[in-house]
Amino acid sequence: MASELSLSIRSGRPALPAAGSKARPFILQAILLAPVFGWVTAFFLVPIGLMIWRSFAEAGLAPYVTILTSPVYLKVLITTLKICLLTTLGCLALGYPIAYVLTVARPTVRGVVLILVILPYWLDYIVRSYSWMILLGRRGLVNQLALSLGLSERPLSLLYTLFSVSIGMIQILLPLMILTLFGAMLRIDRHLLDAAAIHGASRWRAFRTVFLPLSLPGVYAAGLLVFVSALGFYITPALLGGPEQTMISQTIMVLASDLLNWPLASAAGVLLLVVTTVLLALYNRFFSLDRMFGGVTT
Amino acid sequence: MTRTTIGDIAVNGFVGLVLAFLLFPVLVVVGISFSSAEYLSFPPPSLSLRWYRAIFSNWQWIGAFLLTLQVGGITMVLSSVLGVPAAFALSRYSGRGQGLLNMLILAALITPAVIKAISIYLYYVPLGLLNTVWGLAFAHTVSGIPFVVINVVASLKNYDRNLEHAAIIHGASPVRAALGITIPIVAPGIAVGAVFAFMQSAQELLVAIFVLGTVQKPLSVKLWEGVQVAIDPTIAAATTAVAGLVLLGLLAVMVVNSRTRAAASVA
Amino acid sequence: MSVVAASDRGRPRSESEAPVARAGVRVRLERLTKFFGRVRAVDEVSLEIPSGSFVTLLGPSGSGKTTALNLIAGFLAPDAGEIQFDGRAISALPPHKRNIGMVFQSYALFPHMTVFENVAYPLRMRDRLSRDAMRARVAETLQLAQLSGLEARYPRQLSGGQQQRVSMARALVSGPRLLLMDEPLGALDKRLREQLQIEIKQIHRQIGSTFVYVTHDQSEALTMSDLIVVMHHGRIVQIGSPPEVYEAPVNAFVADFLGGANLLSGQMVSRRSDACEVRIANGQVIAVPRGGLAETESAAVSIFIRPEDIRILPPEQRPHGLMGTPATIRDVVYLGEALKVAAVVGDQTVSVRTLRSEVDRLAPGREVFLAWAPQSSRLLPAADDR
Repeated sequence: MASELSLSIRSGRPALPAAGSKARPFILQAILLAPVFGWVTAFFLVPIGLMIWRSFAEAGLAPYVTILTSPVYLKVLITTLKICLLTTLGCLALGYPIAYVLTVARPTVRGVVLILVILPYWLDYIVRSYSWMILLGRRGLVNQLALSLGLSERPLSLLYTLFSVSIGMIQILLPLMILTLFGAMLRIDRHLLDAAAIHGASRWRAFRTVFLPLSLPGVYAAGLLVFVSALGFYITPALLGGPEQTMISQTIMVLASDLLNWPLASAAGVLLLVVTTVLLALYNRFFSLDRMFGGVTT
Repeated sequence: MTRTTIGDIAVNGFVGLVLAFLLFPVLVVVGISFSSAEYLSFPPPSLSLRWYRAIFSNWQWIGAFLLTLQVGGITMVLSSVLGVPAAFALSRYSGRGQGLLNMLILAALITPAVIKAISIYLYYVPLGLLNTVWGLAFAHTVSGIPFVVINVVASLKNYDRNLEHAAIIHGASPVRAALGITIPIVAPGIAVGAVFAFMQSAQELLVAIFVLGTVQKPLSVKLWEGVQVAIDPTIAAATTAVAGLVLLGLLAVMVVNSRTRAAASVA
Repeated sequence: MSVVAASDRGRPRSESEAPVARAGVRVRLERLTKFFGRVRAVDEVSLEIPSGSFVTLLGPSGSGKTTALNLIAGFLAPDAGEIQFDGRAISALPPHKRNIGMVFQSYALFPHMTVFENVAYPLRMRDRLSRDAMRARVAETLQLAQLSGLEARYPRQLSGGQQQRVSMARALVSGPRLLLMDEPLGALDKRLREQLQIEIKQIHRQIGSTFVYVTHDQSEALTMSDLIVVMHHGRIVQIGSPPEVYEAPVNAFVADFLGGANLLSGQMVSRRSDACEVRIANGQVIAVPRGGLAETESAAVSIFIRPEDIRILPPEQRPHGLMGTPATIRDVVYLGEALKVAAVVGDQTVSVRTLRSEVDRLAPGREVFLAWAPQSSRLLPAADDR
């Protein structure tokens, strides 16, 4: 046994599936993976299958036709996409500089900034949305400040607007944007910036000609991830948005729990699922999962 | 170079502003939770612990907290038991199973909560798992597994496989080598993943609403209802208490992580 | 040593000038110091690099050679001391204004740019050339680096040797008067390395710029340099031409680092104006030229002899005019072009390189007499772990 094992190590084969049988790694792998596949199938895939079936079961394609033709639902879809796009662009504008600074900063600075970025990430969505209710309300801090500085005569209606929803969602998703960008930027060889500098590029030109183009794949990945995450938001638009800012998750909740219209709720769910899956497949095609947090979660 | 330019100052200022944007709202909630006022105002007129006393003497809040602990605890254990072997398979072997698992994990992590909520509701109705703690934990485990897998895969990446080979050469069976040598070394990764799995369960709202209805309320549901009606700082205190709990978890994670790093640098 | 007069000091760069035949920068380091935390990575290093010379910073890893190079490049700011190019202090100048070409250890080629774009990069950043002039200059440089035909490739499509050449071409293209090279051949196999050593040397002769080359490979340093600067623990241990540092090392570290010298430890027993006598471990007293060493009588010293300077004679033979000691052969290793013999003298092992035709005479356990000409040996301070 021992000699066989040492042989297999010398020949570079993994030692765990010992003694030359080709079937064993496969079996071992199957044993290790089966529980997860089983669980995810039982409590995720089958329920979703049920939801898909339910969307067709009672009235065929009718629920889909309703959603895709009725102005009410179309408006919700468009609003959802609009808010997601706004959130993604906002996160990118705020997050890219931070990720860049994290990449080039000294280790101590990097550590502090990383902790400050991650800290709010692990606070409840409810908590973070609630804090914006306090800040942006008619008697909130922002209005108090505006009134006392004479910037405005009357309290501004900041809450329950596109602005408040976007601000709230940007604040919640910004850490995801920063961490994903940072993970991608860390893969850029720092010597490349040295090489650019020594061959005549100022810091700004080195950034523009070398760092920026090399960071673009990370930008696409992070943008896609933030956009997909934003698609399913419920808490934030429900707390910070008005009726004009109703997103698709809210509509599905109302259809299912208040109106008990399961075919319509399921169909809307399927549509949301399709969009999410397509975007995810796109992400998975170009960026692998292990780049997602890349071990930088803490 | 260590020269400071106007560009540097601008960039640093921007970073400061964005960090403030991230953190300030949270600080506001914390501040209000210690307010003595009956209404929401910031900065608070004076400090007091009255809202915390109100929560911790209220059995509804205590019950919600215990319920969250139960669901989160089960989720944490299940996610680890299922996720660790999968992480091993992911980092050790390559094959078609891996790509599929990657995709599944990503899907489980990112599928909108509302889809998970209504689909699991439709599924649980015939199964009779509605209104059960186990039912909620089973559903939360789907979203907990990714955190365990991602963190364990990350720590397996840094792990020198020759340690295990050495154990096998010196007479340990492969299974014993994995249990005795590898598992202890990647234990911090498992712990980090488990804590994350717990935290996502504690914060999850929509599945909890659908599975537990309005009869039993874990913390997230209780908070949600409170946020919609509350005009006094009770909710601020409750959310801060939850945030404090999360911070403790995060702190535990960081302590574990730095220990591992110290151990790794010794080895 | 090629010393080109630094007559063009302060002359403004003309944009249209070809990348050839301009005098290199005269570089001067004055008490240059850099800390990393509490470690002195570079410790009061003073050095004068003549215009147009090929200077190698040689030392083991952690000796401060790469840090010194990064200080010259401007990637690091010195904590103390000064750097001058042609007599002008340049410490305040950021890297991109120092007009340097550099070859990086990992090549640092821009992965999103083709070979052409990589090589054209310094021209785009530094010079305002017309499109045609730029094309011509890049083509010319690619030819110099034997890369013609690969313009449209990306770095990942090139072999290691080709990547190295692209890195060279990029460093050379804008005709910098100073070239820095940080272990540029470290990642290549031996044959390619030796070939590129010759090419780099040829390019140096052609363009006349000053080259500062960092390596830990002593044979590379000996082959290529006009001047070798041996560094250890952040300090300069010795500066000299290759023959100087190889044949007359100032201490045990240099002697050992430049090709595994023998260091016989012993005690000084007498000291005359021209020579000293040293008693080594087996009781033998050996005369050594005194050199510049100022050790007192009865001090512990080392005798330095290169393996190739020792002859192996039969034990009874004591040739006139040669120094030597009886020894016992312990090992004979076949190296191909020569034999490496390990012989025991007292409690020390002496290594000898000899002709392979002698293989029949030599066998482990045989008693022999090791002999060498007195002038090929030198007295060094006792080998300590400096």
